[in-house]
Amino acid sequence: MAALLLSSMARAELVQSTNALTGLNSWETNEHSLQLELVQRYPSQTAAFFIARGFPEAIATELAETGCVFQTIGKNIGKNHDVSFNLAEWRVVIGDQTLPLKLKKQWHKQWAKNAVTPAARIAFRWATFPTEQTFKPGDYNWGMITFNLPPGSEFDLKVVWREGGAEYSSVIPELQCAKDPS
Amino acid sequence: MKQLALSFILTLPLALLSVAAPADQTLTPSADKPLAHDFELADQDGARHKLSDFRGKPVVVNFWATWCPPCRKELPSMNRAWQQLKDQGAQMIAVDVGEDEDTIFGFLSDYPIEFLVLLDIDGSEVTRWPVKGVPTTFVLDPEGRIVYTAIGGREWDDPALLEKVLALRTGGASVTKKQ
Repeated sequence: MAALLLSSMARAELVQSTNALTGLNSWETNEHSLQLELVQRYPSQTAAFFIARGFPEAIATELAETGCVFQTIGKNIGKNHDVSFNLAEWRVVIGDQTLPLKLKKQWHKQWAKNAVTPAARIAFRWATFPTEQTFKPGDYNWGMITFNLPPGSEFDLKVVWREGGAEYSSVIPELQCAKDPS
Repeated sequence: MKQLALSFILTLPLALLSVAAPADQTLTPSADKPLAHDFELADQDGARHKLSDFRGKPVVVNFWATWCPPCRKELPSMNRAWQQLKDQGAQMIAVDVGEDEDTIFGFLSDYPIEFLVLLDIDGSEVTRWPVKGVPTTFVLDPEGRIVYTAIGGREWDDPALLEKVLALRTGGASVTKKQ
């Protein structure tokens, strides 16, 4: 059975806020059963996280400064349907370009076999958002997503998910990759 | 930069906790109740434990990591739940994914928990369970089958959740809350 394709004609209903303690911006959208929150991470914060888990400084810094890393919280807030997604279907829209996200497997492939220890790869695997996941009602998950843009970049994010036999898409506008405070 | 990074390490996890939506107290029933993978892992003192050693009682198996904000948020409620479960014929196990003894030891000095913590240091066991992210928690029946799954944190001392765990005991039973 072909899934219905339902695209939100209007932009997602968004709440954008700034954490007074950290200065980091977050964007939260609630559509149908999906609640999605994207929280900026400073490049230095991301680099420190991965260095502390065994990454060589150069690789952690490259990841942090080219990745445009967001902490992501996805949740099924519905009562009746599973919510499924595949990050390979999400798109970064910047100017007239539409780009895929940089997924875990691409990072692993980029790192030379012995450049990142198995322990560090394990940390990366579990600290990043699952590429594919299905949430039952009430389930949620946290993890980092990398958008593969330099600090300060502004972009729209097309999010795709499935629930109740239908496919939905929505656009979160004007996300910004964090820059370290000067 | 190092000072900035240290500042974030100390303050950001707590700041991020504040943005977490409250957890719904759901446990998803397994349709087919698959037999859980039997692991054998060491605790912080090096003693080894097999999951199958706990056959005959319901077991809550939680996969977590110290750096994971929702894991840290739910641990105190798991410890409170353990105070109610331990004398009622149920077991609770937290399996840390991918971290070593020193990390766990340091963490547990700040987050004292009394139930069994096992270390999957090389992350090999978690991959044999249906886990996509942490925390993920499974409730096993006395035969070692996965009866419920919860992805994301929960308030584990909620009587409604404890009731479901204890109902899996042979013959079932109601929760007796300790004062």
